[in-house]
Amino acid sequence: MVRQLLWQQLWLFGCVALMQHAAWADTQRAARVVRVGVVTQADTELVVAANPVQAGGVQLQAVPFATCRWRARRWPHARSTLR
Amino acid sequence: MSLARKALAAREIDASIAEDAQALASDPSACVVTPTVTYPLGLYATKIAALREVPVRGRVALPGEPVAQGRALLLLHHYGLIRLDRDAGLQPRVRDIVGNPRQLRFHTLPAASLAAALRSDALVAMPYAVADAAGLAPARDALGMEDARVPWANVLAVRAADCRAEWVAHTAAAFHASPVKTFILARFNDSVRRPW
Repeated sequence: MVRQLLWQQLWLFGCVALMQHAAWADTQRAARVVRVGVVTQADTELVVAANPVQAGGVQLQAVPFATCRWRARRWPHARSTLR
Repeated sequence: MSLARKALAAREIDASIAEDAQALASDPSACVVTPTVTYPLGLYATKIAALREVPVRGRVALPGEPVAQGRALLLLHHYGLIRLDRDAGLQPRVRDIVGNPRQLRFHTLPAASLAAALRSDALVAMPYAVADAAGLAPARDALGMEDARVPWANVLAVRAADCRAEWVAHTAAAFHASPVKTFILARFNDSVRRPW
């Protein structure tokens, strides 16, 4: 009787763990952030407009080139000239 | 190497929508996925109301930057103001003009000086960014502008290694979704055009 109860508990625990893992995996999939390089204000607005669509759980994040390290290193004033 | 390719190669970004397919054409490390929007180059004037009114021997200001200059000349060719050499390709120069029925006089200017040329020149060719900075909207103010499906439509580009990744397909789908289509028309009133 006790053994059967233990098996039931174990089975229940396993099911809950599996469901939690599936939910976690879904969350991870939804959090796939795609960094999209932009230059102009219009580019940025386009990314913002496309983002709520979240097709397939993809989240879009606009990244102005001026903020990229390689550009900031070579052209420190790029931000003011590009935006 | 273009801005987008450098940032992609440095893994600072996953994708780029800031450049056109022509700028990315020569690099096998970047993969062009799909077009996003076209920032049309336009022909502007303050002294005339239509392209048929461009005066004989009128001065025409062209962008000094080679790609924009080629686009401007192709647009003038498209509207029949000049005729270009058939072999000139996508980057023609003033020397490639083989027919100039109105004897237009061309001169090139840096981007920053194009808007000021509206005061003196009969016609000024301006890329979208320059016109926008001057408060001009191509759909409202240009006497002629590029079609949405020109070869210089901006594209979604990713690293070649990512070209077939699932997230790339999802990203492309997001840019081509119906709400984005509505947004482009509502926000830019056809001054930024949709090539898909």
